[in-house]
Amino acid sequence: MTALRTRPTATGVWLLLMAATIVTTWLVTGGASQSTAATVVVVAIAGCKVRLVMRHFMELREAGWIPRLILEVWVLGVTLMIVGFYLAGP
Amino acid sequence: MIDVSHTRTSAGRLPGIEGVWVLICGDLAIFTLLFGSFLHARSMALSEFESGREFLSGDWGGINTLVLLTSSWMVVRALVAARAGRATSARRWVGAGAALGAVFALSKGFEYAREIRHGFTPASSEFSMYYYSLTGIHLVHVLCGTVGLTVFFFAWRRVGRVGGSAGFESMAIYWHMVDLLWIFLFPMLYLLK
Repeated sequence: MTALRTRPTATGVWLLLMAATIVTTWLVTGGASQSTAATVVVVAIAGCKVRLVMRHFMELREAGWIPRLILEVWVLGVTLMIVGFYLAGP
Repeated sequence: MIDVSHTRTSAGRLPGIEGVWVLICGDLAIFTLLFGSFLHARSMALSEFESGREFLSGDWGGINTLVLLTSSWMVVRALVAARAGRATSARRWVGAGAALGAVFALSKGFEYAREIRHGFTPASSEFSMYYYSLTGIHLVHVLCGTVGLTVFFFAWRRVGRVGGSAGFESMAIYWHMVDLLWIFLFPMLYLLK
């Protein structure tokens, strides 16, 4: 049962991750000019991608609340740190 | 091959052995410090970092991201197959995952060669120093993971069967960590304009 449930989910997550990478690499940031908002969106999408990898590939969605909380806080913290330093620049 | 002996508590199930999570948390903490150090240095010398960033190929970084994501997914498929006792399938998926790890490493090597040919060396600027350090440390992780996956491929081929072992779960968790570190490294180094 686990195999039947896990396979399509993992493949769906992988396709989503691939699509998000293609969008952020070649559609949002591909041009010569790039707005601040577009850069923030790219970093936010990276944070979402990391969260997907943790929850679905590392199977943290099945873990207890303490490890889940630690790693979710880490993802949010790193994403906010990148955005914060980026927005704090001139 | 040992059976799954992951940490199971009433609050949930943590795959792999506990030690691998200690390694993961330690690695994530070190990379967080490196990320913070890079971002702080960047905020102090924006124009210099932007000039350095222009040496990098976003296309190359994007393709490498796709390669690593696909490798991670293959390792998930290998674990699912191993848990179901489908030895041939598990071996093929882990072999394919390891092969893509090697593709990433080779691609990174070619990328370094291209950059150095264009005069972008570790000593070129503060940005280049951070770029080669961060991606170099990450590349060492990729090489270790690729070797680990290859060991599982040959071990499973030798014994002719697989187990949904805590050992392979730990290997998979490590490999996904290598993947997620790159997911943050790629936009920070290549896409922050």
